[in-house]
Amino acid sequence: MQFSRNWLKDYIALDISIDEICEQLTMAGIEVEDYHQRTSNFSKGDYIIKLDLTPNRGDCFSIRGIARELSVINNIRFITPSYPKIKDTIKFSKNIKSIKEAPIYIGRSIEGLDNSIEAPAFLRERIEFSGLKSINSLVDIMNYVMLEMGQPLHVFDEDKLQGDISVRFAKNNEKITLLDEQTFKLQKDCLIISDPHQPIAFAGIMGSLNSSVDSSTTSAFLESAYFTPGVIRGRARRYGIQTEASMRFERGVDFQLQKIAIERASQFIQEYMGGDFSKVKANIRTKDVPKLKRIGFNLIHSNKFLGTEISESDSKRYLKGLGCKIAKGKKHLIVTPPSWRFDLSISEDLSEELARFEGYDNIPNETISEAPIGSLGNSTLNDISNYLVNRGYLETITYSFIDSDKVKLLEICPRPIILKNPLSENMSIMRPSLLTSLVSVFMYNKNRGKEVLKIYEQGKVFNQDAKGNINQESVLAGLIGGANKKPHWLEGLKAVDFYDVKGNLESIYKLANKEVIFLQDRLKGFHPGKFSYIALKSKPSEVLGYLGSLDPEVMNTLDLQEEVIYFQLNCEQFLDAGDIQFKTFSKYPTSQRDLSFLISKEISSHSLQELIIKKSGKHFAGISVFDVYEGKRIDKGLKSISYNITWRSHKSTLVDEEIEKIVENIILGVEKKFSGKIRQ
Amino acid sequence: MNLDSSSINTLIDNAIHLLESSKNLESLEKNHKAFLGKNGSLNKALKFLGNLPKEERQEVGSRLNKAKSTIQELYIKKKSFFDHKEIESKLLKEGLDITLPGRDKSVGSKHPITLTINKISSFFSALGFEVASGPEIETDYYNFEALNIPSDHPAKDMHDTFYLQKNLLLRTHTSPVQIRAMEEQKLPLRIICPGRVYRKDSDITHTPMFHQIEGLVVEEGASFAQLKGLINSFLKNYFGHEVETRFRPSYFPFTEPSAEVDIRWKDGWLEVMGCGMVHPNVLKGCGIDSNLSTGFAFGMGAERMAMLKYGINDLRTFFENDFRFLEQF
Repeated sequence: MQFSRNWLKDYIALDISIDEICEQLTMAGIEVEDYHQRTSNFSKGDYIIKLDLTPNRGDCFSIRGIARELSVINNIRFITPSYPKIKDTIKFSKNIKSIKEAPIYIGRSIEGLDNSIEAPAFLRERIEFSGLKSINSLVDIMNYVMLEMGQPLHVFDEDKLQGDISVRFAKNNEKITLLDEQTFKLQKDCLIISDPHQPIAFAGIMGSLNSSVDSSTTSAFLESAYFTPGVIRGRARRYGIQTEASMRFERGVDFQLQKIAIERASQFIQEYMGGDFSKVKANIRTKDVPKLKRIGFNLIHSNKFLGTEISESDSKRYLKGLGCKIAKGKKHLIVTPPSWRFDLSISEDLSEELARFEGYDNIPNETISEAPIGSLGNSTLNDISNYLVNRGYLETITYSFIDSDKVKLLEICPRPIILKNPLSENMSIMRPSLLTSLVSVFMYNKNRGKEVLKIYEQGKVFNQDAKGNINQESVLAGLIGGANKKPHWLEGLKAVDFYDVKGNLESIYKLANKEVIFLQDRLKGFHPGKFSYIALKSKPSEVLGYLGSLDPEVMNTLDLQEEVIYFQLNCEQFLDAGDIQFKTFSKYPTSQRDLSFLISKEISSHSLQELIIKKSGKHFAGISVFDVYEGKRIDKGLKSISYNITWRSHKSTLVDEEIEKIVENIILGVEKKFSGKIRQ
Repeated sequence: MNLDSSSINTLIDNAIHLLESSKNLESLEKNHKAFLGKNGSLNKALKFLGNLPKEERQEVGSRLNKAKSTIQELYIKKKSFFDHKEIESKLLKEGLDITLPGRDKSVGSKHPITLTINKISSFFSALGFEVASGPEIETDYYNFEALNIPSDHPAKDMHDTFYLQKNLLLRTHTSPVQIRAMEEQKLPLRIICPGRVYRKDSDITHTPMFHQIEGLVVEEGASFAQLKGLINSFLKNYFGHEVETRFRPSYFPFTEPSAEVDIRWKDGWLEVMGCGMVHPNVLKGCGIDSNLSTGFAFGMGAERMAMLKYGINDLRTFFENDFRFLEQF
């Protein structure tokens, strides 16, 4: 909405600067987007003011509405002009049939118009300053009255109408060609104005071409109506034809304005174009016309709610200035908002009006009551994030929707969750994992010459089960490739491998105070021999995440040469980290032995280790792998694994004999179960 | 042997002089030996004591012993000086070029949006707010209807929504988290909800995904003045104490009254937050009696807060994830 400042002077005697006007409007919630000077032929030093109106303030879509706001702010008189009725000299001969969605439909016929005259220049200037184009006298007058009062009017060429008028809903796919020559097939929920043969207007939005006025028009039918906002809302948007009229109707037009507006327009027509006028034919369905609301209002409550001390006289002045009627009720005031304020229906709405005119900046600042300290949510996850950062990872944030083409390459997604209206195909699927997103970031930065590529992200992944239930789970995922560390002058570059990432994950689980196991497995998209699920040690069926090297075939497609490892952990597992429980430790020294075994390559270190632990007795204190060898020095099909094992008693220093006995036991066990041999 | 007092003094003086003037450990040892060695002059003199008359023996003996300890002390002092010097010269040979870079300095970084969210969440958590989160695929009810935004409402124009099948949508704001919290939790309620939100919009100042941080307080006596006080102290905490703020009336379907909050930025005012008193319809929908408890809510865009804090001028940079950008945080 834009308008000429000087037009306001028809309603208020305003003697403040343009800056002040704009500041006042903005601070009253009528946001001024922009203003600039404009030379007027009719008044001194005019300005164009452009507003960014909120959807609740339909009443400010008019000069009257804006002037009214300024009159309250500045505590000055608001002039309500009255317009004399036009003398009727011809008969109104049409029947008008309406429905409850158009509870007020007022019309008037005019004949003998002199169409050769342009609308007066001041009128055209004001229209133009308001951002509209001058079209012809009749249309210009309609627009002028709309801008002034907020009531959209429509004018038909009466000679093009073929009889009575009805307001009705469109038939399904009913065709209409509008003034702008676009043709639409309407749906059944669209309100139209129709003559006995065809639609003549898309009600409240735009007239049709077949009934439009032009340079040869001499008879006209004027329409001034109130359409309920609900029947206009969304329709213009659906067909992409938002108009000045639809913007006003969908926000709500003053339902007591129709007669006044048609008289105002008639007055202009008579003055500039002459013609004979019929009576105003008013078709009013009283029970469907909105009722004025009565709001019980308690100033003490309102002041408490706002935290203010607004006086009774000020509050009454503000409300009356806005057009509210105030009566005394038994317990509180009864406030009746004016017919143009659709947004005032409860006591809180009135509180906002008081706050607006008191000035939000004049409301005091108070502190909220004291409360126990809140929680920052998942602190373990924050610790993990800190750990990854300290290990050189960069955190990324990528879009939650991914390319439908890439889904096939990298994701396991039998039932993709698809956006109905994506921005583009490459942002159309809700991601089932973070892999595709992280691979994109990886490639982007690799292509820019980055050598160390360690990234992680925390976000939701979206999956759907066979029944259509959607699961949105938060995960922490990482992608690692390239060099292990930045090059250093003392050491050469080392490429990252599976064990770098596994070490990071093992550390994460130490931080999270959780015992997990790594279960070798296979998953589509990953190297068949370098993939592992991570599960709870106490409940291996509960998978907490996974890690793996990307499948070399996938790597080929992506044109990646070096190993890339991905991990993904669900975040929920880190919610119940629980407090660490201290365990007493022994004061006695440890005993340790290094044992190397020759066993089949097929046997995992994990299973061998489990056996060793089982055979290590109650004083077992720890085990670690310190060497793995496969190669020329041992038989094919075998590998050598060396462990360092420690024992410690809580009661005494262990003697060699005890340890030797245990070691013998271990060796026997390994021989028996895995046919493994101790390596001397 | 002459052991009168002047001869002893001369002996001591000579010893001190020789020890003091020793140039290195070797000459120190040599000079020390000359006096205190097995055949050193002082030891010789001590052995000679027996030849002295009984009445002199005690006095001379004590003088000689005193001289012996003086010389020994001097020797120890000098020796430790030379020892240190030797270690030092040996260590200096092992010296490093400390200007060469250290090892493994590859610390990563958190995304600036995360940093911003963490900073804002900590402020509010110290005031008793719990961090809350919720689903990103939402229903029309939680995203619109429960927030007093009926279908076809013009306020829906402000939200260009991404839709999925079966009336599901991507949340256009984090407000659904507030509804879920009001439904599920007991009053009084103080929550802060950061998270991803989605709108179908993409240009220089819009990305189809961005982050909001919203807060909600529902308790007896919550007032607009408290909301103002809270927001003002938050903005001072975030932007520094000199920041100038203003509250302007605005419109959100889920708050009444509603306000936009601007901060003074360069030549003008810059909108940074929206807020208001929770609309009674919203409270009612969540089963809260608005006569007993009132509430206020506020929200801001994490990207804008981060851009202002870190001087980032292109919104799209946040989601390109270029390392040259990420590494700076």
